[in-house]
Amino acid sequence: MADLEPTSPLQRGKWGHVMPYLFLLPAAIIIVTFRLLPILSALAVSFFDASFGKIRGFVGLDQYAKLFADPEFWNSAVNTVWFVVGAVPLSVATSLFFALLLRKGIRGLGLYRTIYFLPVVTSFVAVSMVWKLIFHVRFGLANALIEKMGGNPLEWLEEPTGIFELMLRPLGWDLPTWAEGPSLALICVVIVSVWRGIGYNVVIFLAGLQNIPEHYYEAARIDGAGRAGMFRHVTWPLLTPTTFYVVVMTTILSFQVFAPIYLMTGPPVGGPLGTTNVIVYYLFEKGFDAGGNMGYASAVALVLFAVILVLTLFQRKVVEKRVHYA
Amino acid sequence: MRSVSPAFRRNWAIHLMLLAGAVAFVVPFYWMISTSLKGPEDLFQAPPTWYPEHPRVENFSEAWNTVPFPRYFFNTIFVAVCIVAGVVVTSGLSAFAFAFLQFRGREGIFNSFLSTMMVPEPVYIISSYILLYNLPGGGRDGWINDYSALIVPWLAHVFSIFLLRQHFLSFPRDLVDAAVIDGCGPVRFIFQIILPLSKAALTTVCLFTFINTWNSFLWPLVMTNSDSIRPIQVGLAFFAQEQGTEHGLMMAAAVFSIAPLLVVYFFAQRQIIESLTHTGLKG
Amino acid sequence: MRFTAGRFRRLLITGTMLGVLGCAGGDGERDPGSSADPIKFWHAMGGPLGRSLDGLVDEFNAAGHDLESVSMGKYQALSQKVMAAVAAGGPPDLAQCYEAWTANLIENQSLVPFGRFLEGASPVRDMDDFYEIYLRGAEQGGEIWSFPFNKSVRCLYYNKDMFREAGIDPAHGPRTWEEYRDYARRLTVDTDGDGKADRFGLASQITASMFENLLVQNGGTLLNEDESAVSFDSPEGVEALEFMADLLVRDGSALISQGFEYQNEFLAGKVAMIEGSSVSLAFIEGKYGFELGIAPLPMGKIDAQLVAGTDVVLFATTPEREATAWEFVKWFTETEQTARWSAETGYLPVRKSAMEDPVMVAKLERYPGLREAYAQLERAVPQPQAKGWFAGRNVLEREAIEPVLRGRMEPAEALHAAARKANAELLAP
Repeated sequence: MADLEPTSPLQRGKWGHVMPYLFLLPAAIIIVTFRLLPILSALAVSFFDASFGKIRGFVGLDQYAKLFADPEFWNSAVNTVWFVVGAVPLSVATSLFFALLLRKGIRGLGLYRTIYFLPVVTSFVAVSMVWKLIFHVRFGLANALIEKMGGNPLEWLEEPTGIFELMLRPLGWDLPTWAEGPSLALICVVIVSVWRGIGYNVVIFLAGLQNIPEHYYEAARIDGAGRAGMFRHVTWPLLTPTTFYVVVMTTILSFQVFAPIYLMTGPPVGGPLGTTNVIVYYLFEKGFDAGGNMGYASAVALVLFAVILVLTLFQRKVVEKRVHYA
Repeated sequence: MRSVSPAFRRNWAIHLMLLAGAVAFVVPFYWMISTSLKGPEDLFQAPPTWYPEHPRVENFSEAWNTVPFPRYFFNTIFVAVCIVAGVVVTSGLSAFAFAFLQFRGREGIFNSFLSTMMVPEPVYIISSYILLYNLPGGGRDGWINDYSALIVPWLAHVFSIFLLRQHFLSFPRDLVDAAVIDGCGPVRFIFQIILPLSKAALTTVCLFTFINTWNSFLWPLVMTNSDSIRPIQVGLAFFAQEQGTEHGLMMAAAVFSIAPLLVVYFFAQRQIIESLTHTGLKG
Repeated sequence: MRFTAGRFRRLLITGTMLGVLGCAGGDGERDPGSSADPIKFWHAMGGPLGRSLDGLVDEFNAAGHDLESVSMGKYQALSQKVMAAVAAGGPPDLAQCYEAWTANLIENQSLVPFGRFLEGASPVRDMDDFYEIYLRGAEQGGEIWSFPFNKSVRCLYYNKDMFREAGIDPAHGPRTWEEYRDYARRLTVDTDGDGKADRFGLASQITASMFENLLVQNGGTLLNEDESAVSFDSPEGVEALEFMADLLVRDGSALISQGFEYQNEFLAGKVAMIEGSSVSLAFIEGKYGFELGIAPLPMGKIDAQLVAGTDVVLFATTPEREATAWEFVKWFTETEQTARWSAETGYLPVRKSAMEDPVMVAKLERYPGLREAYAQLERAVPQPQAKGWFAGRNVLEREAIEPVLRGRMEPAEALHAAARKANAELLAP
């Protein structure tokens, strides 16, 4: 037993080494049985030919070969990347912006905060239903506002054209398909997802801002720093841990986007023209529809998991370096 | 504007921006309520009207009477209360172990827990269905279409463990030493020292678990088959499907599906936000 | 024993593999239920359809049976639930099923053929009374694997007031493709004079159903004779899709909506004609303020269409449960019940004798157009049965119909490209 690490003083007595595991046991039983086991078995199935839950033989990496050759997979991968690229900066920037405005006893802080947080406690089912009506092409609020301002109504969730193309078309440009960018429909889903999540991030940023000791600002002021200078030299570097947390969480959640796609787009879900078909919906459909190609769906899942993991580790590496030199 | 101080002018701009933000957050809710009171004459106006010109309150009674919403509410609340109770205990205990105790595999276990957060639900929902169906006990279909399927798998929550562990890590290290010198065992240490210092963090965990359970959708959609067990979100989605295109009825149903939680939120919003702020989330 | 991280990891992997090979096999470790448990019937009948079905189920149960009717809301959810339940080893006793799903379930050995009951101790009365086309659609490889349950045809709903306004005889709908386009154009009006149409001749969602009917009306078929390859990209198919693009897009006389929103536009008097299933009537009944017309679909070169709607399939459980489930199917398809079901929902009766049943006669008197619409059944063809058609039809809808209706592709190129991909789905093992 000599090679065991030193224990906490709370772990005296002969049960000391076993005690931590007893504390972990309730949570571990649940997580191992109902998370890890289903996740690992789902991932393991990716090396088999499995439909209707029946394992029909080991196929090695065949599912992966099929997957990487499938244009539908790449389409959903590109859509997912666009979703992440759209949602993460938008969400982080907007919530940081509002958090900075709300800082330091501005009047009505409580009220604003309450309002911003409202969508966080509202279900995606209800949120999607109302936004679908807002984006309704004929009787929706969005088009009514645009028309009131003299613009041309848009197709919103029904618009498969990329937004770059939509923006440049009035200037007479016609972009090739690959450069059109994410469809307006996908952008609508980005907007709704960001709208629903901002309140949470604002509160997290506010907490982070609160943790920055006041004397840093005083010191900066004495050094003659202006507003921008204080942000650059005090707020931003000292807020890095919070920003990192928000970015990582938002990225992970964005890669996993499913509910708003499932509830708002189509029929068929993922439409128009498959421009909102994200990877998690793609694997859901493959795994569930027409006999359930579970092996294939699992292969998609494993690729997604690997991407999220690598990105999270990468973000951590980059940020850790930055924190060091800040 | 010349005579106005620069400070005021700056705040005025800030308020304007904050107000614009507030409008963006409130309008969809307004639209939900306004649409819920619209009948066919108002619904198919292009452009739509801001408020119902022929208010139709019957939307609410009609929606309420079409599907068993009271049952949905009961199911949701029952499931949520059980889960909250379970999550507080399991997360508290394991976060305590991760934060205060030393043991082999601590980092490994913690990381493997955390890694489950990177896997989206649709990935493991079919294998979970197979597992739940084949577990002993429960109803005719194993745990499927049974409260156990909605409750037990959610009795531990990785994010809550993470959150509480972060909170516990912010305690000064001498706290433990002082307690041990006083002859404190782990159980007394938890009840006498940790609990009183963790009210905000535990409240956050409770509230977020409750909100997440209330709003969960895909899991109960797949795991339930009958109205007697369906929670509100699945009930609402079903209602929307069945009514298909009746916007007024759909919005009425949406309004009362979110109303209970919003009421709780209005009364507890200070608590919710303050506790979240004070939990001291760090990267 | 020391519990190292490595050991922990190995244990997990072993447990997982056991879990995969053990539970996932779904080899019926769990008792499929004693005969005392209710018979589970899973379906997708929501709203008015579900209420009607539940009423009939209650009546069946009043005779001493115990059948539980469970609605999954919509067909996609139903197929997903059935898939998960079959995978877990616990299918329902009965479920609604499209022809192309049936093939999957047959291959998975989940079903019991109906022949066993049709020739067994409790056969149906007068098999010849069933419409022959349904049984043709239910038969795969010489066995009847599914039984006609809720069959429908597509028909045209139109606003007679708007017809009159446009100077069109409201007594009947458009009878030919040419008339269809012509009516749609004449019924499109710009009421406020801003140069944009405010009322449209026609509205539709993007769906393969409309194309499928146009295709058979034009003399084409979806699949070849032995269902080994698609044939929707034939010259007839290209012509049909060209016509569809003219009608719905190029003429500017139609509105394309998200999902079932087009029904709203029709009910609100913003659209003069919509195509729908005969069942759509149950959803629009009592919600419109104009005189409603119901007509058969306009005719192409030939007067034909595909039968729509689903059958029920019977899952292999225990002989007692299967027998009880069969009793329900048998009871439900008797003249009196199928007539009531039909009158309440708009589904077609599965027996010819039901057309003479008093409830049915009363319904047809209330909606005179319905008789002609139902008569389309005599000239209808069954849906394809190939297992790969479920995915193949998705390809047709998403990669040919949608891009053409959204102006992204020309009919010929879209159909050829979709055909190549759909053929791969049909060939998939």
